[in-house]
Amino acid sequence: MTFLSPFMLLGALAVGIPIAIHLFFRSRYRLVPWAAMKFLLTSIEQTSRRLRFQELLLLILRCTLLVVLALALARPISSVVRGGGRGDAVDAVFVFDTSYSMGASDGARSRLERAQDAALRVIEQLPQHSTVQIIACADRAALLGPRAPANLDQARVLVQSLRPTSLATDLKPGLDEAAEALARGQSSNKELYLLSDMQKLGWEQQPGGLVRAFQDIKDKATVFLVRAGTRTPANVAVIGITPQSGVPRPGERVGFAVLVGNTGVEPVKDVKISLAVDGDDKNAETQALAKIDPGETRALTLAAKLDKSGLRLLTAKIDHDDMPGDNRFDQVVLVRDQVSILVVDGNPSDRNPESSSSFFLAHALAPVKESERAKHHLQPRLVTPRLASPALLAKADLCILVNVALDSGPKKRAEALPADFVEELARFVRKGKGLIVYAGDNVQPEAYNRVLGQKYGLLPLPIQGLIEKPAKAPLAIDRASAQLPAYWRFKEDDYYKGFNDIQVWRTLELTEIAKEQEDATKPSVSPTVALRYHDGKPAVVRRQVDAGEVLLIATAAEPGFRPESSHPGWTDWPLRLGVYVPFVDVTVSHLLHGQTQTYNVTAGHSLDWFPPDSQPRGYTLVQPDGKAVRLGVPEKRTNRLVLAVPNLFQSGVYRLVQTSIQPGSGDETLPRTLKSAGTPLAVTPDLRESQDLEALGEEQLNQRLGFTPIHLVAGAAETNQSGADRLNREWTMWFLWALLALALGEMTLAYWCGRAW
Amino acid sequence: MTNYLHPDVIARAQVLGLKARTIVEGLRVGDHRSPYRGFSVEFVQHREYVPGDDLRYIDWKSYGRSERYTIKQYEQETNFAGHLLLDASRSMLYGEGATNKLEYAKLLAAALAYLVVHQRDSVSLNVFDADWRERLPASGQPGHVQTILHTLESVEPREKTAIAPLLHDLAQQVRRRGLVFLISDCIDDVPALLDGLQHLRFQGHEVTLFHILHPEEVEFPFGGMVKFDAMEEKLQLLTRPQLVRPAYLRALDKYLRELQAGCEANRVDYVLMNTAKPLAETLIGYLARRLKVRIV
Repeated sequence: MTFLSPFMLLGALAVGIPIAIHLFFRSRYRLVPWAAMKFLLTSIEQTSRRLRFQELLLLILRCTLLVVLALALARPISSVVRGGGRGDAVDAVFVFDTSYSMGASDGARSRLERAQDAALRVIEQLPQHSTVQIIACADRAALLGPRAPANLDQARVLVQSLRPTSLATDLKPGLDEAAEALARGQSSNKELYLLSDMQKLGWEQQPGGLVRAFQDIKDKATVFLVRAGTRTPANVAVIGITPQSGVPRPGERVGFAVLVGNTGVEPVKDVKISLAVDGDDKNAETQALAKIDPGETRALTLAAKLDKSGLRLLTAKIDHDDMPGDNRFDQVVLVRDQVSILVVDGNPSDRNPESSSSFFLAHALAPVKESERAKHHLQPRLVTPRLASPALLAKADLCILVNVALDSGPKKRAEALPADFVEELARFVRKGKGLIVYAGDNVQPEAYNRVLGQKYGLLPLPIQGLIEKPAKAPLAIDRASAQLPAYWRFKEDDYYKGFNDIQVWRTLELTEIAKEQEDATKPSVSPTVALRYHDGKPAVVRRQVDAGEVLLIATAAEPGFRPESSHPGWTDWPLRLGVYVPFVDVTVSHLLHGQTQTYNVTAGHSLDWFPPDSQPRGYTLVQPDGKAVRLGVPEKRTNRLVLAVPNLFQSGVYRLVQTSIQPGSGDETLPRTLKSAGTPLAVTPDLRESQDLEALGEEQLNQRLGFTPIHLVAGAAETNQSGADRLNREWTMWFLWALLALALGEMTLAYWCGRAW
Repeated sequence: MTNYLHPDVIARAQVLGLKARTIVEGLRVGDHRSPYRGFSVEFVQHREYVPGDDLRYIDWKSYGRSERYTIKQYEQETNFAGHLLLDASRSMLYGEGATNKLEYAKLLAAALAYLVVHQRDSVSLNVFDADWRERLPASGQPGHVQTILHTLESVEPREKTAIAPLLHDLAQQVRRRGLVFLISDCIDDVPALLDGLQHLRFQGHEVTLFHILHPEEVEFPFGGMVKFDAMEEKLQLLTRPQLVRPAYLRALDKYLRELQAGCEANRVDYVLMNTAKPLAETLIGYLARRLKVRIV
């Protein structure tokens, strides 16, 4: 218990008054000579104990009365539930969860709208001279204002202007911002309102820090948890768009797998999914899904006609559900005529091409007749390590190292890859290109770990050594282990069941490391095992390296026939054309597709854009709602121009528009039609938000926090409790009631004691 | 003796005598009737002769009428000695002015002395507290009243009461049966007091106890914080009288009932005298009862 007017506690010293009066009156008496002392003595003997008890009781009551009066005047308030008393100005801080789950409809209104209504009601009930601070919080927090905290009208406007973002929830930054805002407040009466759907994700991103932040705030302010939304929404999310086959080419109808998942707790029926190119909804292909169960993820194949080469925008949409935030998924794809693939073969053989390590791979890359190879969209170029030069990489979209030695070794049996090529290769990958590394006899684990791994950070996993299996007990690929979305078809489509028959006798042993603690705000950079052997060991691993991606295949690209035997030494995978060619095709497509990830960003992530033009030009970012934000001129970093694109909070299509700079003026001229001009950037919602829509109940929240905040439900009548609670938590009224009761008790007792017995 | 002759004492005695006489003259007092049936001139009743009766008292006229021997009985008028026992302990000092217990008791004693002497009987005065303080032997001379008045006026209380031993002492000393008037506030041990009264009764005395109480002693009307200072001992009690009043009244009532019951048991006339009431009123009431005389 604390006090709003603690100095009034000095009034408790008045407890001495009844004691003094008692002693004073005992000293003020009338002396009466008395004859019949005998009877008086008898009567006093009979009554003295009772009288003493009554006197003591009255004295205690009167002292208590004064103490309670002093306590009441000191205006006691609960220390469990902090805050001020009735009529006291309040420093109120409102933390709004603006993650896109707050956009979910809850009845006729969305959760955020309910939260806004609740906040406006609270602001309406705030006592005079109160201040308000509005904080928007998704996975980051922003203090919106008002600039003058006492300006409640501006606060109302700010509350009404809040819109859900496409970010996931993390309440910790919001709480940190709120703690600072509360610390700035001058009133002793502080209140924190967290208006959220209480989604589990928001409480689990940084659980320890969040609880500590709440504990700190609890000591300074009354904590209100205002729940917006009382039921888990029915939700189907578009999770991704993956090209079904090959590389998108102009003029072709390309199949894309649109991944949709039901992240709610109830089945959703009759869902329509459409896929549009460059926002052309009229010609969008639509497919209906009769029913999708909770937790189920489905891949729907939708075709899109890509007329022109270049960056094309694909937009997948779901027609309806309760949560609109993840119903749209935009993706920029690169449509090209041909793709140049640089294949470095560490074991070439001009005399006997079939014995080259890249023989089967080259055929898998261009599985067409010799006469049609020139027209094929994939154009592999085979080079030996010795001939591999950095200049070749400049023209390549993809690089494949097949059985390449990085170190020629003591006997110099194999050609080693030139160091300048490796160095350029690292830059090539980091710029956003793809690299596939095949194992083989020339692959020395130590050299790969040292050069590709430690020096350039390209190796997805360290190579521990080589595993050799007996001829009769080979390893087999487990198609069910496919993790990469591009490989999902291998485990789902029975056509690819032949994957399980692939036999592998020799493979690199890769050391899996524990998944690192990732920064939630950045894309995953930790290695992913894309495919495994049936014993669980990694067969294909991938790793994002800056903008690019590296894929390491633990076995060889060739069968590796044993000397004097037709039996493969490494694997029979290349011999199984039915699964090898699709695997190569999908892998190449995946890597080429990944190259467009520069243009595809998850909401909340910042983007470093590398302008193709070497001349400095100004850029403007046109937001999905049409607003233009000037980004200025790219800055120069390590000999490259980099344009920092700020955090993008809303999903949708942004466009980077180049604007010319008038010499000397610094003014930028914007093109007239901004909507379709410039480089598209597809920003997708942070899908972590909709993966688990479970909300925490009051009890669960209390347990996590270790104390009991005041729980309110936005939209319910009890939201008005905040004001009522402000009145209730000051205990003055209770103390006054106690005072009245004590006074009545004292009067009754005094009357009762005053009566002679 | 000096006190007796002091002009102030004399004057007060005269006032006392005047008051007493006024009271007494207000009464129509007949001859004192002996409780004993004698053979005086005043016929009372006949009774049947029994062997052993003196033949002189046979009513022969009645025998002539009824041929039955009857004896004529007459009421005998006798002289008697009245003994006034006045409590002059310190407790009798309580009260202001006319309600002072001792003054009231003195007036009562004087009135009784007048009455007795006026009836040509003798009266003695015994003033006591813990012991005899003043004793005037019985005398029927009219001037004896003046002596009594002077003695009464000179009484100055000194000690606490101890009645019982003195009653026993008186019972031993006075052999001839008479009337004993004990005037006291009776602040003493009740069983012992009753024992003394019983002794007097045993000696054949007719005993009347005039119990003098001040109205404040009866009603205990005090309020506020009061320190009661005992008049007969070194004791002080600080209390709120209004809170102990019921208990006090209960204790007093119990005491009075015990005393009255004891007096009744010993056939002692008990007269409770509240000093707030005029003495004449109380005395007339007593005499009316005692003498069975109609008061006009």
